[in-house]
Formats: sequence, C-alpha cells, structure tokens
Amino acid sequence: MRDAAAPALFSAASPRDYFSLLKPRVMTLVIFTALVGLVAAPGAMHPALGAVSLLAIAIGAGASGALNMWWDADIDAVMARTACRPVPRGLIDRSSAGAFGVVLSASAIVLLWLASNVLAAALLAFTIFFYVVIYSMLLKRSTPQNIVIGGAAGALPPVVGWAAATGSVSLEPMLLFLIIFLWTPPHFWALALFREGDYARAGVPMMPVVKGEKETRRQMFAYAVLTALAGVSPAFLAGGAGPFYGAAACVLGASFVFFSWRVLVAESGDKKPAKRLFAYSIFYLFALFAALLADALLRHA
Amino acid sequence: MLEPDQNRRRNQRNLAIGLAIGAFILLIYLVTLLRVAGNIHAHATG
Repeated sequence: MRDAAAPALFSAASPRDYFSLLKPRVMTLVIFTALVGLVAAPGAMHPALGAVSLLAIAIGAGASGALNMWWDADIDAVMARTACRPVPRGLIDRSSAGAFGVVLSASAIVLLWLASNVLAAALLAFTIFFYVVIYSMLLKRSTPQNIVIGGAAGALPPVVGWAAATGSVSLEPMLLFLIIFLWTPPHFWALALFREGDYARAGVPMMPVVKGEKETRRQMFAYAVLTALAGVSPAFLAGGAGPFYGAAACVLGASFVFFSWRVLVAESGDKKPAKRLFAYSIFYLFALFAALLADALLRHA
Repeated sequence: MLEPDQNRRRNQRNLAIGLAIGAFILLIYLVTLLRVAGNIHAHATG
C-alpha cells in the first residue's frame, strides 16, 4: 500500500483515479433521473442549455461522491467493497479529494445557475449539502435510518432537472422524488444484507447490523410495496404519465414486490435473494424512468 | 526528484486540469451567448 499522507505533488494518481472519485456508476443513475425530470417537465428549454444543465447536475453528483470519499476514507479502508477506492489505496490524499470535491461543487452550482435558473442551482447546492453534511457526516455513522433519510439526496436529481426546465417545482417532480426516496431502503438494505460483515467491521449502523436480518427484511418488503404504489402514481395524475407508463409501472412494481417477498421468506443466512433484489432494484429504477422518458417523448412528439 | 512514472502521471494531471479549465471557460462563454441570444429573441417577439 502507498503512503496515504504523501504530498499531492508526488502523488501517483492519474486523471482516471480522480475520475473514479466521482463515483461514475452512481452518476449514471443521477444523470438519467435528472434527464427524465428535465424532459418530462412542461415547457421548452434550449437543447444545448438542457445538455449543459445535465452536465452541471452530473458534476454536482460527482462532487458529492468526492466529498463523501474525503469524509469516509477511514471506513472505506476497512470495507471490502470500497477498499480499492483511490483514497484508501493512497493514490490520492484526503485533502486533495476534499479540495477536488469543493471546486467541482462550486463549478457545478455556478454552471447550473448560468445555464438554467437560481432555483435549480439552489436545489443542486442543497442536494450536495444534504449528501455530504446530513448523510455522510451526521447520519451514516449514527443511526440505522441513515440511508432512509439520506436517500433524499439521491432522490432530488429529477426535481433539479424539472426545476432547471421550468424554474419551479410542482407535484409531478415530487412524485419522482418519492419513488426514489422509497426505493432507496430496499436497494441499500439488500446490499447491506449480503455485505453485513463489511458494515459491522466499519462500525456503520446499517439496519441488518443493528436490528437484525428479520426486521430488515420486513421493513424492506414494506418499502418495496410503497415504492411500487408510488411508481404507479404518476399515471393517475391529471395530465401526468399515460397508460403505457402505467402498465410498465404495474409490471415492474409487481416484480419489485415479488423479489422483496423472496427476501422476506428466505432462510436466515441465504444471501441469494438479497443479491437478486439488489440487481433487480437497479433495473427497476432505470426501467421505470425509461418508461417515463418514453412517455414524455411520445407526448412531446 | 520524481521517478519517470510519477513525472508522467503529473504531466497527465496537469493536462487534465488545463483541459478541464479550458472546457469550463468555453462552456460559460457558450451558455452566456445562448442566454443573451434567447433574451434578445424574447424581447424582439414581445
């Protein structure tokens, strides 16, 4: 292992290592949900300004990731899933990761303000603040409700996208927020069920570590049912999504509940259902928002 | 004294920082042009 405290000037980090600080896979989901919020919103935004707004949201999401790696370097080092990140590996020192995150946050907020409006920029700033300060600094190490409350940060991108396009926030983007907010617990607790040892070693009080598998599975099922119901709700809104989206949301939601039920009734110690639910949960959110995007594009056509 | 690999990576980082700053300035410039053009068009059409 390299010396984590080595000065940045002599660092062995490549641009690719800095890019990995941005959590590119998480960014993909943020970009996609923000795109759906932006496209589903009424009103026309100049395509180039829309693209720049999306880029700013993506940079803001990446900045949150870098700041999270700055703050959580100690626990990342003891978790198998995160030990290969550039800070615990000693490729990038903590202060450089923090500075990188701060510069990117400021750039993203200014860029979004210029490309769209002050509300969208303020929402992006709040998202970064919520993820870094509320979730990473205050909740993650102190309560098993960490990802429930912290999930609000991950749920905000479609609202930011909507605000960028319209300069306002209404019920429709709040439903998109609600879907991701309710989806977050079953998604992350599925991961925690098969990575329980990791979180216990790092001292992170995830639900399975604190309340046990049985209680976690029960709560996951409840959240999955609520997610499926919230997923269908845009189809019932006046002027909302159409029947194509409604049908897709029903099928996807029923499958999400089914996979959660498999976790609920699984034998203790059986990790497979949780792994399947984790994989499906990612597919669910992408597919649901893809259906919403297709529906919005059909309506705009 | 830097080792050749460290030197190469530092050059890569410098290039990436330069390109990122250049791209950011260009983006700000283009966004400003688009916003100004949009406002002129909006005023012209009443």
